[in-house]
Amino acid sequence: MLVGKGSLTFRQYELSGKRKRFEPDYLCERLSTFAFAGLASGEEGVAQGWVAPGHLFDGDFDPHRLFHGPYVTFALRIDTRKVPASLINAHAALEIQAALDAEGLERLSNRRKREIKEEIRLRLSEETPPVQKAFGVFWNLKKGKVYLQNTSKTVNEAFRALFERSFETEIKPQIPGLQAAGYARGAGLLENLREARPLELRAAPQGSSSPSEMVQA
Amino acid sequence: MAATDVAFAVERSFLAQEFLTWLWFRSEVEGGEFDLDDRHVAVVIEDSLSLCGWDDEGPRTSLRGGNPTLRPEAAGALASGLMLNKARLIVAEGNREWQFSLDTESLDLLSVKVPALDEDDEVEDPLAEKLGAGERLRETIDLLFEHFLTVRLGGDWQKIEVPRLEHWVRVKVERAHADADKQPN
Repeated sequence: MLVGKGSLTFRQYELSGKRKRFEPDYLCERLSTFAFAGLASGEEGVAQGWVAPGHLFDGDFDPHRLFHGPYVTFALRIDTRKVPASLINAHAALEIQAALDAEGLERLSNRRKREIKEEIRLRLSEETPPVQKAFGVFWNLKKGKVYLQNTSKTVNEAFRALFERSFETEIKPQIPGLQAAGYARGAGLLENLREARPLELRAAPQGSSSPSEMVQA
Repeated sequence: MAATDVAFAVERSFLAQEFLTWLWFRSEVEGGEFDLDDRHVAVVIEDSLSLCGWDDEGPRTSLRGGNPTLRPEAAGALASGLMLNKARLIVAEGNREWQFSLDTESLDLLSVKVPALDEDDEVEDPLAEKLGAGERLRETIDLLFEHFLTVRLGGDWQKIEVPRLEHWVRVKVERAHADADKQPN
């Protein structure tokens, strides 16, 4: 199960686009449209898309499986295939030496070296499985809050871009500065927020009395 | 989001460190109980403290185990101007308790253990229940942050709350020195 398993780590987003209602049929159709399709055999790079919440290969976007109470659940799958440069260089060193020995040469042309490296890269790409990861998503449709079970910058950027494209809306991450700005705007304290500077906290001087008689803020 | 909005938000990110440090202060000095919109909660800073200053290159202190909030190193870190930027906390609401870590860079919730269900609870959808518990914690932290902002951006911050914070740090430092004096040579 990709959503809600074990202890939860997640980042909160708030829906901020014009669209407010998301019907189950629409959600399932859009999840299928932007479902994970994978990298081609031997293709290097990154592929991302949605999977259903059961497991990495779960492509069954049946509403009965996705909806739990007020939440729709699914997952972002990201596959990455990259042949390490050090591995290519090591193979290339061996094959270049073998070519030099076989042909009795002292050096190969740069073009020939590039061709050898490219052949090695393509061969190793075919042999290298992609790194496959999935990150749970749960979306409270009533409250307009979306939660991604990952907090890394790259995954969150990929998630936000795909989510906004998939569901034709916008989402804003709830980060402290933006939350403070939103609160301050509503409370008429934006100027106080603009003027706020980091607290320089030091121990009160020795002998200072307790401020307990002061009114608690 | 406009680039200016993002820049403004990043410049105000110090408020999250102040928030976590203020929660620590309130939990030690006043028992950490808060009346929020629709809930009454208690907050405890439990373990895995990480303190740092505003300068990314500056000193950092990490403390784990053995009541780190009461250790002399914690007092020393606060007295030298470091703020709490990450910690393991407990939030209790009624008989429900959440354990989690809070990272002030983003106020993300990390490794959240939600309240266990009683064996007698008849739960229609355990997954919805669990996600709901996680979301409830998120809402509680957001309400606590707003409560902090009310204090922080209000007129009493410099006159009242900052002196109270400084007095708290002084008392912690004095206690740390007193405990050190009691240690056998």
